Amino acid sequence: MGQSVRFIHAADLHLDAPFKGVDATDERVRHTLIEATYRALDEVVNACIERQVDFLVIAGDAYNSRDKSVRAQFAFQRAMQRLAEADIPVYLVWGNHDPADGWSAGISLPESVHIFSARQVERVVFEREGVTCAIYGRSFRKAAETENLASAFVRDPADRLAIGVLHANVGGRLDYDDYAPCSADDLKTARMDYWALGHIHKPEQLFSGAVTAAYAGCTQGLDPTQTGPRGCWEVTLDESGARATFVTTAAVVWDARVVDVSDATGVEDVHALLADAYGAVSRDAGGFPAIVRFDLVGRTEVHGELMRPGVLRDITDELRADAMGDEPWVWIDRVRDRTRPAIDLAVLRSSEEFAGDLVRMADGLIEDPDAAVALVAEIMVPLLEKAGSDLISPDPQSVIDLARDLALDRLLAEEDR
Amino acid sequence: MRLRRIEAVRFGRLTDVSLGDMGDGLTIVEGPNEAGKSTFTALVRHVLYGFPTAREKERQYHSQAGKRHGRLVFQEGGSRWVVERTEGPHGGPLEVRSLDGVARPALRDELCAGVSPLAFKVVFGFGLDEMAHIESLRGSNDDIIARLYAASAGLTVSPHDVRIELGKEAEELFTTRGKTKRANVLLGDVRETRLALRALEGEAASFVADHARLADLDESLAQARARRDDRRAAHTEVARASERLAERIGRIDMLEQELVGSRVEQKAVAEAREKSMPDERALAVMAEIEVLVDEASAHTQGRTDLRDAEAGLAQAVRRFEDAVARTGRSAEEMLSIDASAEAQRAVDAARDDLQRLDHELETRRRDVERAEMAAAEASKLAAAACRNGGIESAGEPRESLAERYGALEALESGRPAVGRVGAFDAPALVLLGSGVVAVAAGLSLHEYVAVAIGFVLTVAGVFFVLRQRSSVGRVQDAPAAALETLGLTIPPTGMELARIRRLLDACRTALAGEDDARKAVAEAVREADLTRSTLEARKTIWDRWLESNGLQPGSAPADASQVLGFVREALTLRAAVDDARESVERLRSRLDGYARRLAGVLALFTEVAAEPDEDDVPLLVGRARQVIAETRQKSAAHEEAERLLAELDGRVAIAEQKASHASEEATAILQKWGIADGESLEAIAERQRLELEEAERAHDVLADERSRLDERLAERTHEARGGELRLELAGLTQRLQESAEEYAVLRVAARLVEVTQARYERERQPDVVRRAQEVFRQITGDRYVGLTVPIAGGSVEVFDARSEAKTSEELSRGTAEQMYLALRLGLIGQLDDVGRGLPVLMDDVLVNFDPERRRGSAEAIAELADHRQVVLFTCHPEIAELFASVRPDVTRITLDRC
Repeated sequence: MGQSVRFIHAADLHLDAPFKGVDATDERVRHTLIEATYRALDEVVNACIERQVDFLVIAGDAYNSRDKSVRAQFAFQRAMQRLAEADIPVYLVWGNHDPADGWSAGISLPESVHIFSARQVERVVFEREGVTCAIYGRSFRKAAETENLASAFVRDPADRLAIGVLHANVGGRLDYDDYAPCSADDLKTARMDYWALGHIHKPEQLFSGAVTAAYAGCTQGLDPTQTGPRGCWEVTLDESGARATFVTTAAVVWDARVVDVSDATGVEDVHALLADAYGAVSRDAGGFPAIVRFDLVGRTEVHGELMRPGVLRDITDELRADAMGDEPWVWIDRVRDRTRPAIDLAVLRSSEEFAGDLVRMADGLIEDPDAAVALVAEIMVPLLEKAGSDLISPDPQSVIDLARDLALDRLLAEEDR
Repeated sequence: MRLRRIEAVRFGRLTDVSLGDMGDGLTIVEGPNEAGKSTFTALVRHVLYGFPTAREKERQYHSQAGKRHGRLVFQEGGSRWVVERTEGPHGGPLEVRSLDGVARPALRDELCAGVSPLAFKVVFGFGLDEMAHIESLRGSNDDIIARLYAASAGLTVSPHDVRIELGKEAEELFTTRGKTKRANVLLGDVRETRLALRALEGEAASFVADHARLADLDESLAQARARRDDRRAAHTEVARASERLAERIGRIDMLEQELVGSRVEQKAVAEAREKSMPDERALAVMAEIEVLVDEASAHTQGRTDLRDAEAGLAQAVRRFEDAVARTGRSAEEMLSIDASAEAQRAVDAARDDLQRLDHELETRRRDVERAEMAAAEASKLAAAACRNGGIESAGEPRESLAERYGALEALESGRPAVGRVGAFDAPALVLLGSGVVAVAAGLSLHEYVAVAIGFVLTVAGVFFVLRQRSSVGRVQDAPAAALETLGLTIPPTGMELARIRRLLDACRTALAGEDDARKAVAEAVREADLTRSTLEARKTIWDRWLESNGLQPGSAPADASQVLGFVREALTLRAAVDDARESVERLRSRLDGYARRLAGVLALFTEVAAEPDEDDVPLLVGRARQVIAETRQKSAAHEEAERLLAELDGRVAIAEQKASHASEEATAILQKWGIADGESLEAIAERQRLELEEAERAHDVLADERSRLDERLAERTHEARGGELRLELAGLTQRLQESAEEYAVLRVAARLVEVTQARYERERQPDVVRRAQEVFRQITGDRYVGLTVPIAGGSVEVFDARSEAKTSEELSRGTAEQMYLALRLGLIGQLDDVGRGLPVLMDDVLVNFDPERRRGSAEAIAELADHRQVVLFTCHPEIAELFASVRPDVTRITLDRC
């Protein structure tokens, strides 16, 4: 009899995640975001049940924090209970966000949920109707797990099918914490048929063939930078290899767009360009609510107007009202002005006049990061003393860049007095 | 660009007054007081910048001649340009044109670029009143020096203003001690949200403890519940025992009282029973009397029935007699008639037979008539047929017919065969055939001779054939007798013979029909006769029957049937009379019997006749009812007394038994609780009630705590407050970061402007100050050697040779004015292209200078006039002379007093 299993590979559910970096003042948006990770969990469970898979694999970070919220634990328990009732076992490892030494409310999970040990690589066997599949996994004992956990995975030669479950940074990605660091070779050496990986929030297949390794990505984008589809893999594994199909589970889509307003001659033009942009976001969201950030770029006559207090905020508020009237809605999280004044800096730089002095001074600060940091830090001392650097950490180079443009806008504005 | 003329069309006291032409460099306008020097200075400013409105705190220079109107004439190379303004809205419309009328609207802006109206007033067109303004406006929004710096630096706004503006905007975002600024508010919100989150996390941390506490509470609650249930059971038992004891004691008391009452009642009832004993005789006949009383109504009805029966009898008799009378016979005769059903059937049968025979006889009569009519018709037909056949019907047609048949047969036996082919002439046929063949052959062979011969032969053949045909069938040898019999003169042809036969056959047939019709008439007559004789016989039988039954012979069956009906009715009425009579007798006998029985029974109680009169019966019945009532009353009272007595006996026995049982139960309760009386048991019940209340309180306290805890834990399983707070914090953080970045950008922008301005002023301003310092030193004759102008505004300081600093306030008026003049000269000297075409107009600014410093000043002004046009107004001839001595090529213009 041919050996074949079909399972869902999910990771990084981050239940009860706070959605950093978003300013959701609309009640619908807030509600959707608060519920989003739970809805994504429900979608994973629905996918398991509707597709009648053999089992579910969760490769770490089911919870967002080691101090898992009670609600998150109960929600997870309910989800696991649904799967148990559908006779779908679950194989789970803890990740850096929900390590084994994290807090637990003592809410017991069904027996059909197997949590891999944090002390060593553990092997369990899934068996049903003559099909057997060995599943190897190891949980994070603590959040900052710096050991190469993958190197301890060794396939039993007797295994007909073998799956490795691990939360790890494969290849040392710089934009992610380097926990459980390992290389692609480490994974290949272990000779698993399929590596169900977690930690990287963007879904991707690292490699495929005799050995397939894939990050499921997070089931729900967690901040404005996590754009694109989010979900889990439905994997069919047999002796010829693994084939994976992506299943979308996100309840809300994140998007980020750059809008070039170089040709704008007034705020009305900016408004129209942004309206076009959010229309495109809505179309691309595939029927889901979307949260989008816009960056306005380009050298434009309206730079000075946009820099005026309240102007951009008024445009944003008006667009928000329009976009939230659509169904599904689009929440414009932020419209950031990254335009440049319609001034030829090169000309100014060579000028001996006041503006030239100012541009050269700003250039000096931009070229000297230490000086820039020192200037911004000095400027920000009163605010930092009250807020703390964890809350406020402006980019000095960007600040000086913007400040130079703002000053030039004001200094070179048409005399209206 | 140089100002050549100033023309006051209407301005203040000046009307159509022109001043000019001014020179390229220094021009001295000399005139007495009220010559209009200050007015011309103001006119230049107002033509360039607009006439002031009434709301502006400035001298208006209204003209009595009409709307204010001024004109300036500038010269550039060989061209002269007129800048002309008339009073009107927004300072009045401005017109710029050449003397030839060519417009040049941009000229005004070129002239005034970088120089605000105030800057013009303070720096370019000033008098003694404006001298100090160059210092007093320092650091304010109208910092003339700063503005002119900015203008000279290629900027449209003052860096100072920009810096101030940026600083204000930054302060709108955040201040160190602020609470309402955006970032301050956000910081406060962040703090509060973090505190709320921390509290929530604390709650989450207590979840396990709460969970454990819930388990402990479950256990404690179970114990408390058990203890409460025990206390409740014990209390219930004691309470019930106490209640039972009290109930038993009460019951014993009640039963004893009941027994006393029952016994008294027993005695009274026994006495009543003796008194109510009924009469023995009445009891013995009671049943009979009751029957008689019950029959009383039947007796009354019987009397009514008797009367009705007697009336019915009389009526039956009358009806019988009437019925007899209707028969027309005596009663005896009537009764002798057999009116039975059999007799009636005989009458009915006779009636039916007679009716049927009458009808049949009528039918036979009509049959005879029809047969006779048919016979007459047949005779007519036979006569007609005979005539056709030549037979006289009056004689013996049948014999004549036979003769004719004989003649016919005789003729027929003598004629040849008719209608055969052989009867044709064979040669004729051969001739005809040959002719046809010859014609055919001739035609086919085109032998027309043969055709002609064939035609002749054919014609001949046809002729012979036809001739032969006309003689066929004719009797050859017919007998004459036969012909005579048939009335023929010549022998007939076959066809004629056939016709004669058909006629004879028709005659024979008609005669046969006539015979048949006559036979039918005879038959019908015979049938009618038979029917008639049958009817007569039936009538004879009927008459005999009537006679034998006492009825009149010859009566119709209907009459007989009516008589029988009357007889039957009379018989029925006679039976009714008999029945009525019998009923009367029976009723009378029954009434008499009842009266006798009643009298017999009542004789025991009262005097009554043995055969009472019928009319006394109701009285006797009343008496009988009275006896019954009296007897029943006594019997009922007696029985009630007996029943009550038995009941009382039973009640007494039961009460005695209950009292004994209750006493035993009370004793058992007291023995069970080991006490001698009920009071102690109540005390035990009260003590246990208190213990129960305590146990319940303890249980309720635990239950409440558990309920609250359970509710709290349940809320946590679904509460989204943590998520909301984290999302709120994320939003606040985002907003704070944006505000912080905005704040940083504003502050850094302000700092960039500030530092740039400082550098600019540090590197550029020394030229201004140095020049002002040189001028001031020149004016004061080295009395003062230094001069400083702080960058950020504030008082200007001067230093003497001993480096002793003095502010303007510490200087004499003249020295201070000299310092202000020096500042202007130094500043204007560095402005380069700013207001390049504008002249510097000074209105008697040297009047407060001593002669030595006046000369120094004049020299400095003359130096300025080397590269910028200067017009100096003075009413002092010595000053005009001074300038003439300092600069001999000075242009001098003299004004007369207006």
